[in-house]
Amino acid sequence: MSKKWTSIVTEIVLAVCSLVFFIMAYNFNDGGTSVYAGAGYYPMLVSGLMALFSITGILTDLFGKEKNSRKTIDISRIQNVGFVITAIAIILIFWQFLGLFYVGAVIGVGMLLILLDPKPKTGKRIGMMLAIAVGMTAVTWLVFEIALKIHV
Amino acid sequence: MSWLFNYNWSLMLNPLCFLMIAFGTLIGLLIGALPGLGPTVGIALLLPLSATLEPVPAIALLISLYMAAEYGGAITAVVMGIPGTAAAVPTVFDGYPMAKSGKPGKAVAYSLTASTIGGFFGWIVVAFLTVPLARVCIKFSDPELFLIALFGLLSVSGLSSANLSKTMVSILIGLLLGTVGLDTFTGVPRFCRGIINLYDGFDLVSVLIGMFAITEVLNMVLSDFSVHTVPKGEDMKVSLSLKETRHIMPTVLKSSVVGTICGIVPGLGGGVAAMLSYSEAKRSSKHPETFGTGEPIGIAASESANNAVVGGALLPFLTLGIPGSSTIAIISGALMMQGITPGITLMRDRPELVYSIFVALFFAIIAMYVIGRFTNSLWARVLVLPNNILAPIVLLLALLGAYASRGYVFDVWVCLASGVAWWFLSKVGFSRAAFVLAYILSDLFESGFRRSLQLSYGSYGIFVSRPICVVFLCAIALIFGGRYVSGLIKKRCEQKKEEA
Repeated sequence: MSKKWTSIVTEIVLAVCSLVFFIMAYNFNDGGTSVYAGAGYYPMLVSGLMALFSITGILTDLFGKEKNSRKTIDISRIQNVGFVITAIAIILIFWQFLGLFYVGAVIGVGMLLILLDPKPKTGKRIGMMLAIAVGMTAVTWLVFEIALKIHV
Repeated sequence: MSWLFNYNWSLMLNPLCFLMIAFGTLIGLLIGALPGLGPTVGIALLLPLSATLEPVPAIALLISLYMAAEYGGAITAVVMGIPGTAAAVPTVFDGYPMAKSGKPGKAVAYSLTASTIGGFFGWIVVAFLTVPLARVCIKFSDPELFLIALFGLLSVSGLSSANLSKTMVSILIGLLLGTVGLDTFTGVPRFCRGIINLYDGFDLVSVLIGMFAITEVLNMVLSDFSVHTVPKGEDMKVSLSLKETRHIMPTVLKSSVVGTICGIVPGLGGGVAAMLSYSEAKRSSKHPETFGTGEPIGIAASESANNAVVGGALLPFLTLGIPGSSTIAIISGALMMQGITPGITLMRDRPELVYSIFVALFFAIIAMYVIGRFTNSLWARVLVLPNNILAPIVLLLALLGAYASRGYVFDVWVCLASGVAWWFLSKVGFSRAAFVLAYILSDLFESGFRRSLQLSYGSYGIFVSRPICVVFLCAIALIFGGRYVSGLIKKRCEQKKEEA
């Protein structure tokens, strides 16, 4: 993935976002108070400046000298990010919809540990990873639920 | 100084007080190290216990917890790259790279030593200079606070090696996100889109945990798992030599001054102190390029400042009854539960309690160092774990930390969104440091700006018409003018070298 063009696209998105924020902030000023005292005055200033600097950034990226830093973003192990997102999704589904955070944590973390394990996946190895997941979750349960009385 | 001779030492020198200091320190280290939980939560949790104690042991318990929690935030910052508290954010920048480069023991040793010295500096100030300093700092009004925030934001441009426009955009994203929620001046909900959880704005701790922990998890899973973060058998020594301590001393002292001042001025606190000290340490360094790669001075600057804040924050509280931070506000509540009203009358009516706070702070710093020293080698060993084990641990702690901060699952989503967004943005050169400082300062910046304009009926002249403001503006001009001139001189020298 080319870093230069990723950067330019990002800055375009940020410039558009800042303009959207600017328009939204404009609507906060009800006209009843002095402009500087209104809720939208400060966000308008900030979002306006942000749009300006984003456009400057786009121009710098387009016409400026390229530095000798890495020109691409390494995404060769991108499937691991998918595993992390799946683990998070499992934990959040169990947490938000079933109220079972710790069960979700054992499943999500256990799955992540098994999938990320670089060694051959033998029965013993999978058992070990699951044991780590259970142990880790048990420790967090003891600390948060029992010691700190923070109910998850 | 005379209080040292007049104080009834038996109030503090008894087994119960020492037990409370040790207990408070242990709990403080744990609470500070857990992402999402800071000294405020820790003190709130121990309030019921403190209410059952006599005033002096209760003070010892709460003060030692406060001090240890400020340091505890550095532990996970160094060994996992997760800032336990907002004040530990800059510690991540150099502490984590140093730990990853095979020196986790040294990294925690630097943070402990700097925290201890910073704590002592704050103690000296609060114990001996309480009244005169409180009188000066109370003169700071909105225009001055705005200029302090502006100074912080401008100084952050020296933190980032990215190009200026990206640094500025990072700052402005922080400021803009800081406006989300109910406007404190008019009560208008801004950018909430009907989401009730957004009325209080985005939770700072969740955003920070996402930015650092989730980003780190993504970096870990994209790395080669055959490589350990820190190989087995690496140096786990958690002490510093005299030479190493001497090397960080000037920065530690300078950052302690910054930390103490940030503690005294209401609304600034540990996060701002640590960021300002870090950026100043980088600005004044002969080798700023080493910052962010495991530079000991970076760790020392951040850690000494956030522990010096403790002493500074106690100063306006004890003399004027002004709690400068939420943590001090809870300590104030704990004292009120004991029938003690902090403020001007406390020093006059019950001086022994004020002196007990000074003495408790002194012993709390010693306890923090001793207990920290014994437990640090355990923490340093965390990084020996391979990345495929460490990443799920960090992920679990991050999710819990984001939730524990306010008790909303919504904050967990915020944490994840901020993590993914900043993982991507940092890959294309946006500055996390700039965003963090802007987000921490956003409230102070906006309220200072708008209140000043209200005071002056919309005239920007208020920022140049007050003596303290002029001093701040001159300082800003001097520092940034100096930076510009030194940059020009450096360029000239390089050109001459090339020509030669």
